[in-house]
Amino acid sequence: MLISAFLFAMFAGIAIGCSLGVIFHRNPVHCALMLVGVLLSVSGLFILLNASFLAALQVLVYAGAIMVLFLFVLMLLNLKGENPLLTRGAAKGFGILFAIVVFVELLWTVLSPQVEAGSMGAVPTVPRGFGSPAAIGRVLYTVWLYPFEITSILLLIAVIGAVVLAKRKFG
Amino acid sequence: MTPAPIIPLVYYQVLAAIIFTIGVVGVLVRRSALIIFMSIELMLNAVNLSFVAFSRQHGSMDGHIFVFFVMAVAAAEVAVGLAILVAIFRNRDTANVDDVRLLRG
Amino acid sequence: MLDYLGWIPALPLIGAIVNGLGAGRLPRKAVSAIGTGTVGLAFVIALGCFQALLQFPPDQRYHLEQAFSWVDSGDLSVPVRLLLDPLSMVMVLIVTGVGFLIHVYSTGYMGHEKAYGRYFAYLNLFTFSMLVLVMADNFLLMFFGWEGVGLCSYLLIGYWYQRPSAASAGKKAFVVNRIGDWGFMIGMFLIFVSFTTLDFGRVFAEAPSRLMPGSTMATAIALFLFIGATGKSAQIPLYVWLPDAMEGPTPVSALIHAATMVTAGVYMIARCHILYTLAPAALMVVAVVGAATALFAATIGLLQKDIKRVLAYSTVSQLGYMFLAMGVGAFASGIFHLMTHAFFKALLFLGSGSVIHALSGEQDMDRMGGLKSALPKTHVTMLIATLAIAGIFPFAGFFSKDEILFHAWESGGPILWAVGVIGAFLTAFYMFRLYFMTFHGPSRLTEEAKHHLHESPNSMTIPLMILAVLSVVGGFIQIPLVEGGQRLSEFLAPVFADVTHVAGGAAAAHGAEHGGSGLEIALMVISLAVAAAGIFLAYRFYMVDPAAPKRLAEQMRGLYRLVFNKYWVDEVYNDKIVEPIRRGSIALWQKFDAAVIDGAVNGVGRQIERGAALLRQAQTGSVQVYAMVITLGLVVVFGYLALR
Repeated sequence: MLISAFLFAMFAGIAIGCSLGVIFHRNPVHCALMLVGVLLSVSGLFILLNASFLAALQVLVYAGAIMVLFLFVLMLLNLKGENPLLTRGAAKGFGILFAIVVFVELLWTVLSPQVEAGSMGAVPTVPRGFGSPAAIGRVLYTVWLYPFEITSILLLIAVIGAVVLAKRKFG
Repeated sequence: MTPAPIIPLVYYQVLAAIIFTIGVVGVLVRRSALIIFMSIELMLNAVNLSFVAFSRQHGSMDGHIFVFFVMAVAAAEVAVGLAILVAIFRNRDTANVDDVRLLRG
Repeated sequence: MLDYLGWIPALPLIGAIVNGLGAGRLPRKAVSAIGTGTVGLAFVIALGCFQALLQFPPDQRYHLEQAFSWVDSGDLSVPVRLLLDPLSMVMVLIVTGVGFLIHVYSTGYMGHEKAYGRYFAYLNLFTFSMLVLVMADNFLLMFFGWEGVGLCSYLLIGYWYQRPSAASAGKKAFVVNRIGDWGFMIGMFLIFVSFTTLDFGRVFAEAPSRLMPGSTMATAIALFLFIGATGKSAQIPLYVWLPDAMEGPTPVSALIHAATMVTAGVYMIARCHILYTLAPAALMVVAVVGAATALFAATIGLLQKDIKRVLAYSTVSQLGYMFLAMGVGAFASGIFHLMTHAFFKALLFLGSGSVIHALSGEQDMDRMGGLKSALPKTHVTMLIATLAIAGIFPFAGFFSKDEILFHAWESGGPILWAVGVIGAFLTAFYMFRLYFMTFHGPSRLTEEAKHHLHESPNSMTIPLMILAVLSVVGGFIQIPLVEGGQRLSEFLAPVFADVTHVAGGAAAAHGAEHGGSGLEIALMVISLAVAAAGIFLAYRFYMVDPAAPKRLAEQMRGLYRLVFNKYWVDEVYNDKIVEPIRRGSIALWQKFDAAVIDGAVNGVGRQIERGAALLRQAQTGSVQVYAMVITLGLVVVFGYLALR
């Protein structure tokens, strides 16, 4: 109890802190490293939630592949720190206002009696192997087979699209 | 290797809401398209966390599957999005969204 | 053989498609082979079907061949189904047989034309449409063929579309036909309202029980269908398009505007004879219009100078006889005259085409004459056809015309008969006027025409000879007064048998047929004498004393001008109908169209433009603003879900 509470508090703290770092740091490279921190701590939270396979995926795909892509682009474009940091105009003020309203609404929902009744009480135990690669694979290749295959086509299209768009000269 | 999560799951939801909101703010206030992308990743991660937590609560694998697909779509989105970003940067020498206003009516 | 029934219309359609798509690419020989071959093959199949039909006992000679379901909507169910009974068999044989000869003739006559493939594509398409018309087993399919032949007629009249007169003649034919088609359609709608079907079998079987004899509905249906018939078959008041239709190539005039298409109205009335026997008033209208047209057109034919126009008015007049036959209830006689007329009128047109061909396009009879020796084959065949149309024994026209006149006397009374006899006299006169002016007397040819003068090639003269033989023997299938001589009537009897059930009058006429043999002989002698008188008068006027016509014209100046100008019917139509419609249309165009319609359309466009300009303000082009609006949407959706 104590250990998991401690782990949750630690990961949650890192995640929130790094998230704020992502959106407020001036240097894009630092932002990217902060994002890695968020992703890794979310991966830790996944483990706490018995989602071991997704935790591994999170590290491999997000912290690995996607972040490398970000850093490559950063190097390629050689971006300097933004100056000014924040966007001009009314979007900023209204944006923050809307974000706060969204947050309040989310909390309202999460803490509402119907949701709370389930998530406040004792957490139910789950069978062994919950969230393991075997369990995911069993569902993925039976119930979700067609969406899974279609996803592969989506990724193929993304690869081709990225190559075509990033080529120096069209045609 | 399955430490029993005795922390009530509502904390996970609150945490997801916080990260999501930070992502929304990032999208709305930053100028650099790259940082906006990162903020979008923050939002997606928050949603993923929420999914996994609900999945744990209901003892159902469907939430995991959804997260799996979200990751795949996020990978595709980042690949294409960054390629577009590179193309824009080449043509206009900027990656700031408020410098690109081609859609103005 | 009846299994191949569908091929009869299908073959010319295939020919039309091949020749139409291959126009300008296929060699001329291939076009000729496809064009004539498909129709020839259809004729052979038709003969086979005829043979098969004769194997059945008379009351079972009725064959249906369903191709596919065409329209199936609510109460309306229309299949594409072919009907073969004695009536449609006779028509199919005429269409394919005469059509084949004219196709063969065309290979010679049109041999020098540039758009050879187009000509044969149209001609084949016409044959297809006409076959659909006569083989249809419901009104809608018949209407399809009806419109199809109208379209082909329009296309072929305007075949030489570079000539403004041909183009406008085609347009005139089309527009006048549309008026008739309107009548046909209204008639068809009324039939559907009364019977909830357009199927021939059901309509005709239920007609006696559903329609009271002489009721308004029966009369309305019959009269509206008759309006359609007057349009297609060139009867008063819609005959005006047919003389102008002579702008088309001569074989077309022979096939479409003499032998087949213009008889569609006659066929339609024969097909719907039950509806007409239920409406005696409408039948009377048919008889009167037919007789009036027969006389009226014959008088115009007296003074025409263009050889084809004489024949055109003669066609209108002969069609009048057929309608007279329909009107007095002698349906079989009308079909008989339709058949013999197809032979000799096709022959007359083809013969005149041969003359025109020989004279390099000359059509004015004032510049012909003395062609007897130069065109021996054409001369002999034309003489036979002229004797046939004049009604001289024993040529085909004698039998058919006298049968009509006999029935006119029997069921229509002496007035209709007298009109018919006067028409026969005029016919004999103007036809022999044509004959004498063309082949006899001094040559009035231009020097150039004399130089090129030649008899037509075999491909043209052989069809002439075959048709000449048919014009001689065609009448023998229906010999009056001889026991067993009326083979055509017997063949058609199953189709028209129900007439006797419906109308008592026809039965009485049937009985009189045997009792009145003396009367029939007397009537025959009278009409023969009248025809001979007409021929003699033509001989006096145009051989013995060529100055006589001029003197007569001087004496009756007013009448001469009235008839010579075709009673100014075209001018009256133009002034009283066409011009007001044109002026009204122009007024509508300039006032209503330009102001109201264009104003409304442009106004809507302008308003949308203005609104769009307003909405455009929302598109700032700033991604952040878009994201903000999306977030606003998120706020609303979340708010709704949270506070629900």
